[in-house]
Amino acid sequence: MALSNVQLIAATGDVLTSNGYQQADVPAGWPSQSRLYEDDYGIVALFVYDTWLRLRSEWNVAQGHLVDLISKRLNRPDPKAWEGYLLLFTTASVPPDERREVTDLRYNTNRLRKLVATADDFETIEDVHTSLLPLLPLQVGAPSSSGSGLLSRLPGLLAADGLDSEVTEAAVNAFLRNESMMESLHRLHESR
Amino acid sequence: MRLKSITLSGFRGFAKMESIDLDADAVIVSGANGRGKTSMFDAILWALTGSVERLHGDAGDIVSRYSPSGEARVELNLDDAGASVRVIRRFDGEAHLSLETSNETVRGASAQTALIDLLWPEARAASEPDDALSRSLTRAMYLQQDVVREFVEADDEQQRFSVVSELVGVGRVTELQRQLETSRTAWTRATNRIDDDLKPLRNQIMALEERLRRLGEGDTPAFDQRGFDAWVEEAQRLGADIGDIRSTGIPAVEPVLAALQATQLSNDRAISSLQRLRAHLITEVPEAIAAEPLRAQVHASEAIVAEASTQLQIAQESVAAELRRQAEVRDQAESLRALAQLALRHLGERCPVCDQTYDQEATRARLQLQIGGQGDLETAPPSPSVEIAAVQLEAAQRQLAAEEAALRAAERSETLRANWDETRDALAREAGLAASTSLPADVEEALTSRQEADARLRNLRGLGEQYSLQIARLAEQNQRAEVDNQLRTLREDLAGRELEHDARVVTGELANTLLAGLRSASTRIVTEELDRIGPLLQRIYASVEPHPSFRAVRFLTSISRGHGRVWTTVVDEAAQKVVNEPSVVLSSSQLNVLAVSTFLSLNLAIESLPLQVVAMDDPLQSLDTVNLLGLADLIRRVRASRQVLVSTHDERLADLLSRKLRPVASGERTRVVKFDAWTREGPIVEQYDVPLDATPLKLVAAG
Repeated sequence: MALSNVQLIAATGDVLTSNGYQQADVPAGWPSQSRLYEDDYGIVALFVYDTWLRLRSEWNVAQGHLVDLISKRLNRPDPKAWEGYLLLFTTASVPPDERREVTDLRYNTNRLRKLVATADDFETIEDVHTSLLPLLPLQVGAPSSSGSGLLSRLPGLLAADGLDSEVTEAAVNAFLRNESMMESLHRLHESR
Repeated sequence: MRLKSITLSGFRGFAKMESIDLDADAVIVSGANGRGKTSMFDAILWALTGSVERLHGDAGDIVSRYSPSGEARVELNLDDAGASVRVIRRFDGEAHLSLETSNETVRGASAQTALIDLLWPEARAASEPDDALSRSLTRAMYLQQDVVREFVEADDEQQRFSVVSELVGVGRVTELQRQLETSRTAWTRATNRIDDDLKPLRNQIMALEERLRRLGEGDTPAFDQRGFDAWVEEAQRLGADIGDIRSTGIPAVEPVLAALQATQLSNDRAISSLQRLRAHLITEVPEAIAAEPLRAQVHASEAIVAEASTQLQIAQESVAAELRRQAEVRDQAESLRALAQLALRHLGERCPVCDQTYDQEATRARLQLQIGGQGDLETAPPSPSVEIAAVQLEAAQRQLAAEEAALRAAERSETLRANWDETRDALAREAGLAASTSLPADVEEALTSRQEADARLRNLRGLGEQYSLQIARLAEQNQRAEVDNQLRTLREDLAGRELEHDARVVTGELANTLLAGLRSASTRIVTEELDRIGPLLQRIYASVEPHPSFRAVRFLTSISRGHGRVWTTVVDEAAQKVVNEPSVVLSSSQLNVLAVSTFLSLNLAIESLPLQVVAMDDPLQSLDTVNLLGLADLIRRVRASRQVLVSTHDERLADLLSRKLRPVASGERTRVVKFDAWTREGPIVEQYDVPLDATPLKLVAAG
């Protein structure tokens, strides 16, 4: 199910505001399918187009809007003045012979960095998050146990393979106590 | 744990002492190439590990050529959750290390061990802890300038897997596995030795079993001592010479049998003698002819022969004398005839002797008569006495010959008789009998007695052999009992030791099962960890957007023969293309992004890394602008969970990083270390803080 423009705008806002961005008012004159966001480091302007054709022909207008805004609202030495991001999204597909233009636009860093995404990039709502990754904090994920922690995981891990956890525990404990693992296994075997 | 400061002298590009403040969330190190940036990063690594593998040189290479003291010294101060840790490493031809904490100061090997415990305790499990520490830091903490792409390009799949294994702490599991393998090998060797030691025991049991089989089965009746005693007495009665046969306490059959045999041999000999005597006695007794009368007759006849011989000789001599006379007459007549012939031939008128005349005719007649005179010359007939004497002699001689033949026959008969008697006497003596007239009867009596004895002796010997066999059977029975006992003991011993051996074998098999599980577990843990790290890598990579098509990256793992392999693959999801060798489709710049992404994902995923630092020495070379911007943003986000040290030779990029990494809240600190120039004394370093952006929200605040 393809996302609508409204859904795309909503999903983008949700992702950004959930990751430290705050929405700012869109200046007068900006298209209705545009939004403005800001975090401590940068300013992000979202422009959503109905078609790829419109995106291709109007992106520079959008860039002009953001550049104007930055020049009006921030001083040139302000580091943030150099931290503008232009999101150029469309829920429409790009003809195969024009996909290179999408790439060219992505690699065009004149004045602003541009993140371009089309219908090919938005199959699910999660894809919106993926498209915004360059702007989002890193989700490192849950740490895993390591070292001795891993050793304590072994009995359970090997039990899944059918190995008696007492056997693994006997070996691990002997290893941790710097004792002979074979003697420990032998004692366990004889005690049974 | 974070870096606070570093003070270095005599280390590579730093000849004089230089202190650099690193106590910031982000440290941006800038300066043209050759100004000392990398030396500073290397100094951090050297202080922590004691080596800079990248340099491939000996330890002396880290000493600055312009070091005033000729030594290299690095003092690294760290913050460990509010507590200070100071690492001081020196090299003056020899390596020196000290580690100071709030509690203690340790030096040398103890300091190295303490440092490993502090920085990467997992390294203790490795066979070479220092190397493991160095590998872990260079793969996950310090991205070195000239080996940025080593993980994705140079390392093969197994090395990559090994690096990840080490980073996620599987080293402990691997070390446990390695120790268990070593221990299991030793255990198996010892178990095999026990089995080898059992072989002689098994052979001994087999030999005893074979011996038992050959000893047969069944019970032998008790020895008939009374019968044996009676047998011995009977043997003695029959003359067997038996000594003290009971001295040993064991019924001694053999000596009795030997004595019986000797007795029987003697008896046999006596029987043989008697039989020969009996055979002699039944032969015809030669008749003896009296020789003496014949001898007298012979003497008389010899006298007669001598007389007759003498008579014959006389007669013969008489005849011989007549014959000689007749011969003389014949000789004379011959001579006269010869003379007459001569005279006749030479007969003249006158006598040649007396010269007288004579009657020639008469003379001639007479001469012719002389020449032809036969009657006077005839031989007289033999004398009859010689013949008579000869006949008499012949008769006497015939008589003598006959008498002599008779005498010889008589003498021969006498010899034969004497010989017969002599033989009889000898045989009688041999048989112990007297040569009396009752000898034949005596012989028969003795022979009967001897033959009866022989029969009894044979019977006794037969009995004795039975006793001997019984004794042998009893002895074998005893041996069987003894072998049985030995076998029982040995079998019990063997069973016990085999039980122990089998238990050890089971333990070995248990260890094998555990090892198989551990091998699988290690690789599974790594695979799980890579699965866990994968999304982070993807997020990092995607945020930089290095490639228009290959926008996804994954860790691809494979386990083969217990060895794990990992590839960093790039994926074009739209076209469903997966490339295991990114260098095939990525440019050098894009590969750098992938390498930095991989490095950062490993660093950030290893939460247990005690040193929460990301150090990257000029990683942003040859990047497209869009990637550069993306990477700078990424580094800013990394700063949220790691202290970041990043260097660049590009001043504009340094400015970009200063901007991107600027502090936006009180407590945040971003430090710039600028290497302005380099002299023989070392770099000229400028250090300053990036100013705090006190009101970062411009639009929202204004709105």
